[in-house]
Amino acid sequence: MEKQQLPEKPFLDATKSVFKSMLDMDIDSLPGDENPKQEENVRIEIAMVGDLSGSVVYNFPKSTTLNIVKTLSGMEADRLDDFATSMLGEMANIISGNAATSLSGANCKCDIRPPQITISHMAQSDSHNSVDMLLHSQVGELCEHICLSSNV
Amino acid sequence: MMWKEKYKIGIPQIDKQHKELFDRVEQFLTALRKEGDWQEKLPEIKKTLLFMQNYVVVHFDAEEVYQKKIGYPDLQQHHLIHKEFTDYVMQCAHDFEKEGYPEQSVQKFAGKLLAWLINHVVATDLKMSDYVKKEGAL
Ligand SMILES: [Fe+2]
Repeated sequence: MEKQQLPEKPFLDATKSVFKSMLDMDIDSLPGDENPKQEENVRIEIAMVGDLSGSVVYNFPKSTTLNIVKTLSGMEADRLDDFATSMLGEMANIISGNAATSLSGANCKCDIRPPQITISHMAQSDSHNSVDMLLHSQVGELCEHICLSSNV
Repeated sequence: MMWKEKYKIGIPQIDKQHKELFDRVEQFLTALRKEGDWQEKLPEIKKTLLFMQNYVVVHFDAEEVYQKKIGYPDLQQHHLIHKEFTDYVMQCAHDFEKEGYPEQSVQKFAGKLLAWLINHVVATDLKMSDYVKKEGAL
């Protein structure tokens, strides 16, 4: 599948709807040439299998992560501990699950694998073949790298 | 407070239970997140985890009874979602007991639990309320 045809739309739509329902926040796309913030990131990789395979990587900068944790838990949060990263992992899991459901509804059957969570200092994608989305909401920026190829 | 008015789905008896569930989750998270020595915090963590865990079962059962009563068409699928999550919670609680409540695992569990529950209420349970409104089944 060519880069231009990569299915970023289901992921963008799913991110928007999950942010709206869980956080009551809207999301905007930032121009692609804008550089993501250089700070510690929670990096969540979700592998996909099926008609599309590869992975989707979510990078939540530390500030975004802590703002989400504060909003959802109503508690103070000042460090990227297991509680915070696991909460974000589940959010990425929900977003990817919703995207996979809408892809399957469009006759592109795919499943997701459990999130792999790491802390990273790099917001850039590790792959040249991915579609990168830099997004912004009230809680801050986040980046999604979609690296999927078609098997049909 | 962890519970937010915007989590209400518009079915009073379900909203009441959701608030109770979130209050119990909050007690668990408060015990878990407060400063201090893990071993000293453990008795309270265990107690609030059990209190929360019991209500997950009570609430999911009650919600499914309600869905049956109103003839909710997605009952079976909703039941499977509840079952999968209950199994996950019970498995974690069992593992914690066996492994002596390792802090990292319990923190991980709590983070996932909260995000899962919020999404379940505001997305999956909301569909049930949409059905009630459409069918006037309340
Ligand atoms: Fe439910």
